[in-house]
Amino acid sequence: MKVANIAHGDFVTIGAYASYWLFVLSGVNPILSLLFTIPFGFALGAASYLTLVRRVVDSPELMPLFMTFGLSTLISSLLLYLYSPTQRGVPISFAPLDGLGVILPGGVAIAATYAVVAAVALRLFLQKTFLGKAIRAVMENRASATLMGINPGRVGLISFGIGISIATSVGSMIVLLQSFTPLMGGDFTLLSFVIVVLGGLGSPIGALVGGVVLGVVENIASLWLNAAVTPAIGFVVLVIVLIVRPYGLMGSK
Amino acid sequence: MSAPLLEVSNLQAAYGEATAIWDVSFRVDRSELVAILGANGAGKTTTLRTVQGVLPQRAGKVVFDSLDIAGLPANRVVEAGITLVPEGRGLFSRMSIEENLELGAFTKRARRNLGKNREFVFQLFPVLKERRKQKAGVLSGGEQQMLAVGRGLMSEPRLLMLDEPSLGLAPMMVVKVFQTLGELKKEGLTILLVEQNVEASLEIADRAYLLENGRTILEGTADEFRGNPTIKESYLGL
Repeated sequence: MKVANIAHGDFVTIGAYASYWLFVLSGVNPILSLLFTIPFGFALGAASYLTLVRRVVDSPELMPLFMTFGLSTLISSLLLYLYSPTQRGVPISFAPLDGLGVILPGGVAIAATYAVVAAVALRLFLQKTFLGKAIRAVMENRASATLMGINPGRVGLISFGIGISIATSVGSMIVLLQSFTPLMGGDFTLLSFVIVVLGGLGSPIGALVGGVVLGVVENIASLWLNAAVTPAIGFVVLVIVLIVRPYGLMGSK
Repeated sequence: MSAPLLEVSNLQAAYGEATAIWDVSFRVDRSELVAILGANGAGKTTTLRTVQGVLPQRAGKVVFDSLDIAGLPANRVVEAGITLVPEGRGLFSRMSIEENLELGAFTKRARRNLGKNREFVFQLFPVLKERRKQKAGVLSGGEQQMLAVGRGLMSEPRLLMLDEPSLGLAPMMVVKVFQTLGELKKEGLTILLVEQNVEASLEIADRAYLLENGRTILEGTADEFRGNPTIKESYLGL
């Protein structure tokens, strides 16, 4: 099963809107709204799997790409229709962290903590639990996994649910960092492709490391380079890493 | 006499349009080791894959322990008690030996006895215990076959089906594989074996079937097979 999800970033947007409305309508703190966006994302992911993804799982790679591209357009258009292209933000701020000569905005500290917790939890889940091992088995060899008594359809549904629940919960964290529009998803999808390939496919810790590397390189480069060029830096790093370590920083051959 | 553990009658299966087996019938009694023999392309692998439910059957009956399992998906057939050790082993080479064994015990039934069964497999193949933390991909061909058999045993099969377990192995490992199957049979395990190595298979088998062009054309005890002139000439090279 190899599905590259073009709509991944749009599920981040959905999470951001969910947290936004929870805040605006009932004053729920975005951190607390994780309790909603995580299960909500799982349900959305499971529903997308059952209605759409399942049909293209066994097709050539281009089919899932087209399908999720369509899903991406559907989600962003729907959000535009419902909520207009107005930029929105959650007016909430947290006390900055000050230490070691660095002042870290509170929202950034919280989001970064969540990223670490999510990556570590996902890795532990994949490495230590029976279900996690079954997911890795299906990823590596679907036919063999079936011979173990594993139902690959069920594993696909759960994997997709988990993936989307991470995306929507990240949306809850994004609102701590920036304002957003229905169209921001594409930027996240692009970034996440760079980060995941940089870190190594199939490795949550790799994704974390890839994200940090990309962020640091982009920011340092911006000291010398025109801000218009900095987004390209990520891709330069990506190309270099792929030449030196084609399986990514933390991935296995 | 009790009903056979597995009874396959007039099985037919195809890959798309191309019919691979036309009419295959055989039975496996409890605690028996049955060999399915035949030339390349006779339909041996297809027969195992169809019984397991990997390949849909087009016609015929598959009855396992008086339960009609025809049309069940492969993972359900594993739950019912049939495990296939596939040709080429199908290991999870990026995962550790230990994890491969654990995945063998994925079904609820097998998971309960995971520890006990793992000890049994480690006793059978001590090298797997020594290297349990290593990735399956680094094992030699013979060790990989041990792991594949061990992983199959982890599912607590009531019928273990093996597809060409000696294929591509060094002569010493071939001997070891057949020895192991002989031991498992003595322990009371029911085994259905598909093999190119006719001579070694008939050594350990109780009964055998010969497939030709997708049809069972001969059935008999291992002794009868060894005495059969056609078998002697075509498969034993005597």
